Amino acid sequence: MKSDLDLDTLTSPEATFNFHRHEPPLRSIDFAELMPSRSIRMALGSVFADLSGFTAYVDACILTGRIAEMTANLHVIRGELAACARDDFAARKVRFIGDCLHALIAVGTRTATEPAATVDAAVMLTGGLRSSFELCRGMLPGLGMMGIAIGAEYGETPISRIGIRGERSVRCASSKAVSSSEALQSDLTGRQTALGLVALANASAAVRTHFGRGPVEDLDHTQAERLVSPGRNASPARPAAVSSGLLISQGAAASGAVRERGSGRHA
Amino acid sequence: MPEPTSPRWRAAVEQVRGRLRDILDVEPTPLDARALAAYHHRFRIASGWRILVDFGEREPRQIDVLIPDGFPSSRPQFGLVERPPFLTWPHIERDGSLCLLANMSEIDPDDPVGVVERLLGKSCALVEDLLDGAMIERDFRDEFLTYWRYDRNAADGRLTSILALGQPSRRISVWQAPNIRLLGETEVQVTDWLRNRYGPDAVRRSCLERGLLLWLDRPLLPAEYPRTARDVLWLAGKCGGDAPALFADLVSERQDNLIVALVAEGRFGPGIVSAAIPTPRDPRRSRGRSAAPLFDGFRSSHLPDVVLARRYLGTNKVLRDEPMRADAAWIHGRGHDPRTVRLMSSTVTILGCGSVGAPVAVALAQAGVGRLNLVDHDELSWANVGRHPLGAASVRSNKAEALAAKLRSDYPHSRFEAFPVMAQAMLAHHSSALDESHLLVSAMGDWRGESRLNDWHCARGRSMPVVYGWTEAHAAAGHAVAIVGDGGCLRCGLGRTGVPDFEVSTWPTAAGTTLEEPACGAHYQPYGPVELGFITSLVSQVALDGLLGKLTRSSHRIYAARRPFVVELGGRWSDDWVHEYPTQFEGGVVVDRLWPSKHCASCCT
Repeated sequence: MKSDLDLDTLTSPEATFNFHRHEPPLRSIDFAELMPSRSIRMALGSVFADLSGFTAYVDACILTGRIAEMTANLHVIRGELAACARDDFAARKVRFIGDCLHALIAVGTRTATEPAATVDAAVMLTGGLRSSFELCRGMLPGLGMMGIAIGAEYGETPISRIGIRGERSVRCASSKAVSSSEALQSDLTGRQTALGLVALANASAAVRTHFGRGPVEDLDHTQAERLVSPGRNASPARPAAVSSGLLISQGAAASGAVRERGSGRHA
Repeated sequence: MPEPTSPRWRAAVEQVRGRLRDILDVEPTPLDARALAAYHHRFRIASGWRILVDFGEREPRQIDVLIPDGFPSSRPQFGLVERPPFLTWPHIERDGSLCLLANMSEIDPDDPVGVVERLLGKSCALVEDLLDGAMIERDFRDEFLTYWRYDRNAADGRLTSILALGQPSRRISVWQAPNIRLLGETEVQVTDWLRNRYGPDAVRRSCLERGLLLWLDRPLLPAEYPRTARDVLWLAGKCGGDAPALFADLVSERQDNLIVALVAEGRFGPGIVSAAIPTPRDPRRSRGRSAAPLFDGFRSSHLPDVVLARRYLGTNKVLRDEPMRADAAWIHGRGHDPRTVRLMSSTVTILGCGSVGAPVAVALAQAGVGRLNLVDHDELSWANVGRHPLGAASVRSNKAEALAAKLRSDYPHSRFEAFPVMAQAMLAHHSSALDESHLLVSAMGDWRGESRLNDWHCARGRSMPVVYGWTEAHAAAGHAVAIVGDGGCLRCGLGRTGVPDFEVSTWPTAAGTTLEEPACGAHYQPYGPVELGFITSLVSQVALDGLLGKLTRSSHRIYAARRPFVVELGGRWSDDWVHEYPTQFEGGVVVDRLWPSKHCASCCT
């Protein structure tokens, strides 16, 4: 025993878990440091990107003896998607499950995740992944019929490592958000991207409007940027934002309508 | 959208909708039932709109304008849709509604548009301040009781504090009983309070435990609220000084439950919250067995204190609660009345606990006088009940004893002692109680007693003020005379049989000024409790002035009722009153006048 923590851990009738937050970006998460008792738990975006039509492509490759090409393509696509998530969007890849990438992304501070910004970042990540995949499809042979189905959801998620440190450990990020994002992508075609209900509820108005009617088709990085970036999302049917300064000055002009008591500290 | 509740509601809502349309240039987006239901039911939100507001960020934020069903008499509410998690920003409740106005603020119900505009402006100003960030920590600390209340996980209403909220960190006494958990400075204070409040049989020593008061340098932020026993230990360490050692001592006493009061100075005075640490228990073991894992591996009597502290102060959850303050400073002025300290250390003896003396006693107890001696030999009768603070339950009880019992129960932090004797006996046999008093109040209305008291007072060199109070017929006027060291004594202003030299009212026929029961010598003054209220307030006011050192010379304060009241009962103003106060002919006034100094027999002896 080296510390009180060890003593408590040994004497407590229940396992002791100390969750902590990881200051975004999540790229810097080191799974080797995440033993179960020191897991991360925070609100984040969970993104599942599944290669659609990959099984048919594998079957075709086996039948035609192009196994080497198939293996090379899989590794290139995996590497490209992982690099895109890590380097372009500062997200953290949890793992590949066959031809499916699971990645986590968050925007915020050491103390709080910013929900709307995180959902925006998740949307940008989905667009980036699709663009990267399209790049692969254009450059690699035999991928003409394949697509990528991407689901994203937002929510509190614990991140941990199960098993001993090293190659044999299992990276674990398991939550309702993860299940939802995985379930979402399983219902999509290779051209579609979808957001979960919680992500929609926390999304900025532009994203919510765009995804509110269901999965969006062919949302690549350019479209995602247009959706998330300011100035390009104003729809003529939608009321424009009114300046807070205008409302404050109008409120000041109407001060006679409210008799305030107390310190007036509130605003 | 719910059904509009009235034509007025509909008209007001329509005006607001029109104004929002003017501001936005498009029709405001109405809130659906689901969005309305997201707000707390206490607001009774019936309708609303969501508007986009640009705060200079990358994306605009949405503010909900929420119309309650009592609008425009009830305040509209405002909710922030895009917000960080609860308790990250102050002034935003769990449902996102914004705290914009203090509880006593009022709105103009005839200007619904102006009200909405004003509060919408305040909402935007609040969000701008929150985005700026400077106010966040400041307001969390300044108003920490509110945010602690939001986050507490225990609130059974039993926890009560009579602690003086001040430095340093110290040990305290805790009374743990099913009906109340009381935090006090010492065992004596706690048991005295309980005896006063619940009677002498309420106190059982087995309920007394020890606790700790931690004085924090500054109020806690929500992120610092203790979740586990270890967090409380960390707070004790942060307090420094004796706090860690006191905490270790407390743990070594092996109580079932440790209560730690956390006290800090907020913007408007100190506040108290509490964290209770239960004994760690193993839920897998059957109830009633050992309190493992506290003693695992050790016999209970051989558990080293260091190990005990580590086990006790581990990861077991604490119960965060907020005690109700019942300390004198809080009861008498919510901690902001500078008179309370002086009054609480004062002793007042009230001679005569009838229809004047008893209300004065109650008023002084409410004002915060720490100790009252109540003197009266008489029993309460049914005829007294109509104008006496004691009611039917005290009939046939001694007035002084019954009043003391009532006041003890109502103000258990103060001391009340009853002397069921006549004033003369009090002067003869209990003069030490009078000597210890800082002020005497005589409401006997009895010249024999008051003349004896005046002689006693003069013989003592008039070392403390004595306030004499009486009423004229029908309570048409009341008098409060304060006799102090300088100026005349009581007898200087009264005749040889106790008739005042100066009276306000006069009654053409003596009949009617006193009435008589159908019994020999059973006279009484006819007046009701309402008229009497002015006079008991007058006497209480002068008594308070005496306690606070505002009386430097013997003085006389007079209340004169309204003239129509006097005329209606067949009276009129006396010539003395008209001559001395010609401008006060209509009455309904309180006046001060000098009490005469004649160097009478009492003064000169």
